[in-house]
Amino acid sequence: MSKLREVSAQDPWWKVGAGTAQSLQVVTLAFARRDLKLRYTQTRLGWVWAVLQPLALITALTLVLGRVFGLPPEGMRQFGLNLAVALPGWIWFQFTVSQGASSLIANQALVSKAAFPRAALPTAKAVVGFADFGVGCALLILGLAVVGELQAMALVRVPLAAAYTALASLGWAYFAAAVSVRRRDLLAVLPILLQVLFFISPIALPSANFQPKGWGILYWLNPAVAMADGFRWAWLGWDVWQPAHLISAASGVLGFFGGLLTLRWRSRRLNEFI
Amino acid sequence: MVPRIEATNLGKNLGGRWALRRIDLRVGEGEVVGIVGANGAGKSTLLKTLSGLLHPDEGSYRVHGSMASLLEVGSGFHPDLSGRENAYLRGVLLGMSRNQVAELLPAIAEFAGVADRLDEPVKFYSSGMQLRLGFSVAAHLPADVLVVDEVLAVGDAAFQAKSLSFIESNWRSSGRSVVYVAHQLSQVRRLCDRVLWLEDGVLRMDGPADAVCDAYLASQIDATAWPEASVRPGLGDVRATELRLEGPWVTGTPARLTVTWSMSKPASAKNLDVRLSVERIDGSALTLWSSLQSGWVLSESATGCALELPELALSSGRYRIHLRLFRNGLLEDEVPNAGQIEVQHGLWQGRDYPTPRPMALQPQRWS
Repeated sequence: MSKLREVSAQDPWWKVGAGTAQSLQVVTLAFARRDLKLRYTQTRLGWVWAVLQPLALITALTLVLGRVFGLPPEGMRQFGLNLAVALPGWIWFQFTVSQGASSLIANQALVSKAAFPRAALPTAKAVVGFADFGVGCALLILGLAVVGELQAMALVRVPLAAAYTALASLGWAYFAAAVSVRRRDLLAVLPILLQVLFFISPIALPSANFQPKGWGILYWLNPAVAMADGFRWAWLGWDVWQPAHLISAASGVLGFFGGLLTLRWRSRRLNEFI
Repeated sequence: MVPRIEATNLGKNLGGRWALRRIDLRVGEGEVVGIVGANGAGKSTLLKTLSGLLHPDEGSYRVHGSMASLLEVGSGFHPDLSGRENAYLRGVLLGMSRNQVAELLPAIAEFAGVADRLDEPVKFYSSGMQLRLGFSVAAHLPADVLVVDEVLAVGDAAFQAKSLSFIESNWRSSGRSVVYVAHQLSQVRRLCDRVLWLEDGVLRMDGPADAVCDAYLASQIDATAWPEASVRPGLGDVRATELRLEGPWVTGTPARLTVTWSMSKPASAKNLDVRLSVERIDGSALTLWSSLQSGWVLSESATGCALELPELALSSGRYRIHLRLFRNGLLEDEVPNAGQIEVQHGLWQGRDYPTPRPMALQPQRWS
């Protein structure tokens, strides 16, 4: 008699996992392995796309936005650096949120037949996005070395910023995955939301000098503000911090736990709607 | 005996309706328990609840040991991945480690009949192959309890038979417990020791396989209602009007029944053959009572006859009577489920008789 599984209607909502046969870690790795295998199947260039996509995006954004703002060559350099260090993180964030949100519905045939920890599906998307992020970082190291901006402290600081990115994006992904099983409207809204978020976050542009008062608080509640500026601090050593960044960072960390708890709370009912 | 599954007052409310209510259930070690019931009776809800996919809204359950669920096994494979990769993922989701899957993979592929195509993307598999692979992965799981939902209702006949004998030889004979839902009662009878009958989410009956299957079948077939004479097969010059099963229905004792009919035009009952086929509830014929074969010749104007059975040669259980009227060798009328009898246990030829299931007995003299 190896193990005993006891489930009661009276169990409190946070007691989940009673019905699962595997740990979150094992299942996450299994899904990540599958999704990495599938990432560039039936493409001619395969993983070269992981290099080409961020390069093309940086080039296009620098040229277009630089032209719009009429920047001089020196300004262009600054603008390009500003964008290049924040972009891999943003791509990862966006990938995890958008893919994670639909991951439960996309795998409903598996969700409806095996009781594994549900958080594994969005988390696996973060792992897949991390692979692209790694490629982006490798490119960035090359580029920064060429322009003479590569600094040793990045070795410590970039993992910190990356860990924050993972937390902040997973919070949103968990929340969106849990809610969208019942209310699929969220999946329709999410791409628009992420598009807007790209422009109101300091990805291409430097962070705004709003005060966290009145409507200004909304700007700082965005966890991507701390993320983008975090990468500038990590790669380039720019001192971008204002006290209000703490609000953004707290929103990212609390969002992670909020999303995780939401998914946990909804886990029990997921199979009634999927 | 240690119970593998123990459920107390289990209930599940789905969309404001109790799909399952007041279920008390015990499945012992090595026991094979079947679940029968109409569509929507709560069979799948019960299995999904026990598998941890649905959380109960009432009551509780315990599962001792590991559980393997064969639910909708044919779906959920990723079309772009190979059979091998899909088998790995499925195995891990169901509770195996990658090493365990690797170890079992040759046996899994062999059983599914996909051994030579394991590295092909699953989108090139037929739906039958996907189903077989799904079944095979789940069925090879080294678990203490197996929960099977209707998997054997799909797939071709050969695979159904193969799966059934796999469960028999790998699960039943190794003393592992099985909970099994199936529409085909013949499979349930063959595989299960005990059967639960669910109706509208509640447990209607729990008992030995044959008794529950018979009672369930009898409920499916309304014993009293005959089809309208106009829609019944046969020439129709003679139409049966009543079958009166007087009994008493006890093995080895005399029994009596009567048949009456009406004749539409001046027909003669002289060449009439009243045939009563005795069948199990599932429709398989056991024996025949025929007026013509026993040499009885009716009078021309007769509108009824009686049959006296000196010794009822049927073991205890439930039977249905299939009535046919023939005249001059042509079918006049037919009522497939003209009546049902419940035979009580009695001595046969002065001796007790083993009665595993309803059957016809036979006077015998051995030398």
